[in-house]
Amino acid sequence: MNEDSTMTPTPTTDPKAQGKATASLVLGIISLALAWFGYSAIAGFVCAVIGTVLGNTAKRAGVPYKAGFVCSIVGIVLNSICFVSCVLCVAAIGTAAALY
Amino acid sequence: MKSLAITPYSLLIISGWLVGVLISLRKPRPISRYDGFYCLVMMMVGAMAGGKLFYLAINIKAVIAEFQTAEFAAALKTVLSGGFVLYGGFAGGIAAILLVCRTNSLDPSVTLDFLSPSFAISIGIGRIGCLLAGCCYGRIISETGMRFPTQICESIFCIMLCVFLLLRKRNQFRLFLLLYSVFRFIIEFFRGDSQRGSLWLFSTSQWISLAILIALAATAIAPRKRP
Repeated sequence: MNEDSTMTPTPTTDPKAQGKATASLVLGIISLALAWFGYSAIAGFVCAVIGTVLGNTAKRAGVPYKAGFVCSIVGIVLNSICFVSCVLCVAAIGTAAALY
Repeated sequence: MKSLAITPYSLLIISGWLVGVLISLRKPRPISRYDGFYCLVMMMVGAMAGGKLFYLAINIKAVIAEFQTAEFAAALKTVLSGGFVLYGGFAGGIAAILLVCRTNSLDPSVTLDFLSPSFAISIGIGRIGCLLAGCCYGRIISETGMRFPTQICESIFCIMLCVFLLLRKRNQFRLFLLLYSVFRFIIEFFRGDSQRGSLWLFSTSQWISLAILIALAATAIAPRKRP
């Protein structure tokens, strides 16, 4: 038996929980879009984190959560890569400017 | 459209995290696959926030001076470009995991023990990113200008620590804290990068290592006093 299945709560039709699952999906998609424009990755990162937390809340309430949760996690990873790269580029330019 | 550069540093940090996630899929596991994965996702978020906040806290004077002299947008860019502090990231990551344990009704000690090898491997691979980025380097040890390879030493140590923790059955988190703190205290003597805080004899990281060791000793002694 799959061990995760024991953790799955009873499915519910709570509109609040469904709203959270939808919000998670929307925020996940927004975060994916914001990853590619330099410092907008910070906003994308925040959206992705909120999306992931909302996805987890929806999961605990027993509504379908996977689409939003996965989008948000991909958003966290992409925005992290882009943000840290962006930060380092500025740092490298600053160091180069200081050297010359 | 402006091109986006992806640096090896960020790729290796994410790779380290991904290897940590893969290690958390091992069996037997005391927490579900979903909970382990969610903990590690939140750990990364907490680590990024904590690492940056700690960096800002250490360099608070420079940050205030930057905002007083430069324009807000330019100052913000400079401040954000500073970097991350590992111990700050570690504290942020642990705080995030404890928060997840609270929301998802998990046992914190079991969760931290189970995820400890993932922490070690994440640091180990992340340090290779430091090597490629040219940060966290060692002091000059020869007349030819050769530096002590602190990043490589820390990386090898953390990978070995991960293997050691995987072989252990219990108290992995305490062992991780103990061994990493001792190692970090020693390796700090060989660090040569100037952009780090220090107080009296030791660097900030050495003081934190000492604090962790004292806290570990206190928690090890404390249960014996109970009736």
